[in-house]
Amino acid sequence: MKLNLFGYDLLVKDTSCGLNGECIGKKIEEPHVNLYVRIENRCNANCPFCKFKGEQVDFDFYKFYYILHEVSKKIKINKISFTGGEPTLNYTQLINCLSLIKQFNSDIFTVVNTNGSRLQDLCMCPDIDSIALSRHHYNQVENDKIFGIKTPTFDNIKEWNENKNIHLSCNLIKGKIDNEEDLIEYLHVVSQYNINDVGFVSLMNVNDFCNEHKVDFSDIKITNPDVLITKDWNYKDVCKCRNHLYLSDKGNVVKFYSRYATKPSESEGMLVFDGNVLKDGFTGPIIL
Amino acid sequence: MNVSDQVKFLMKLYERLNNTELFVKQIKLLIQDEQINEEAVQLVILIYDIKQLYHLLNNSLIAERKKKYKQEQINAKLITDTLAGLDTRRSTTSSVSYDPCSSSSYSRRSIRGGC
Repeated sequence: MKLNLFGYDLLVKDTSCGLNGECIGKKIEEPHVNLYVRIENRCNANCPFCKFKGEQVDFDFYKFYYILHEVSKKIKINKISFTGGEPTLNYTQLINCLSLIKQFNSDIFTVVNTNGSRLQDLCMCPDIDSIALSRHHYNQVENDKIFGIKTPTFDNIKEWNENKNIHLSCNLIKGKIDNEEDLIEYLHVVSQYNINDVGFVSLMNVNDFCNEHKVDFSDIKITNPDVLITKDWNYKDVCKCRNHLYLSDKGNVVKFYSRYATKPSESEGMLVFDGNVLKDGFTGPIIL
Repeated sequence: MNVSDQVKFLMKLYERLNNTELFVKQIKLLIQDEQINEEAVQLVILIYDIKQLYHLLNNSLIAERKKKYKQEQINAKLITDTLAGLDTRRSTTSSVSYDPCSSSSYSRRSIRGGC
């Protein structure tokens, strides 16, 4: 369906993703949008697959408030994700925005994507519903090597994850986590640290490194008897994902999903505020 | 979602946890997350007779089904015993079993296509 937003016709999903082989899902009773906020372009890490690292953002807090207010008049905002750069490099602004959102409408689900630089502080923030912590290898040395910085250890994560709202996001990279054995080892390790939510994501074709190191999750055949596939989703020819449960030898359950976006530019209902302008998706036209 | 696979997964979970309280807690989370469906949980209730799980589903149908299942077990046992009296070879095919794929008509219906 089309939604007129600030004079721009935004495409919004009105049917859910197709489940378990269905071409198309059910009609969405209450259509919604998700808002991605790039609060900071700077990043202290040096991941080779990232193209979003840049200069400091002169974040327009009042415009953010205006967008929140005006968009909410037209359609439900389901989720607001803070991304970057590394959002915690502009920590005060981040906390202000989170507080504003929760005061405005506490039902909006808030997510902060982070490399873990200020993980302990984030874990204590009451306005965050989920912390999406990038963690691309179970081995600490390997993980630090990918990021080019010292990242939180699993012991740190276990100690700080009191609210159990840390979700790990692992990029599938050739030579790193790229096969079933390593993927299971990853799940086995995290299960020992009370983490029960993991996502495995294929790289987007944003630079040469990604083109050379991309791994499609569907190429990894999961045969392990301790893994249960629970749901298979697809949205047109734009993306596909799959939900699983992993059962460790100690009886810990880790739910994990795999996601593979074939046309990331065509995601519907995804608004991006980069600190100055509101856009239709990360690479789409400017709306406001 | 294949119910039979889910039941197997939950049975494995029950065995590995070896703690009913933790098992119930975990099932609760999985239901909340919609990772498993109620049919699988209903079968697990029948298999292990875990009373703590009843209120989770908040489904009086389960109690009804359980009663029916028990009655079917009794009926099956009566038939088996009767047959055993007539023909000793048949007494080995007892229908009283905790196997979800057992000859209980309820079980067969519930995991249709799963076995």
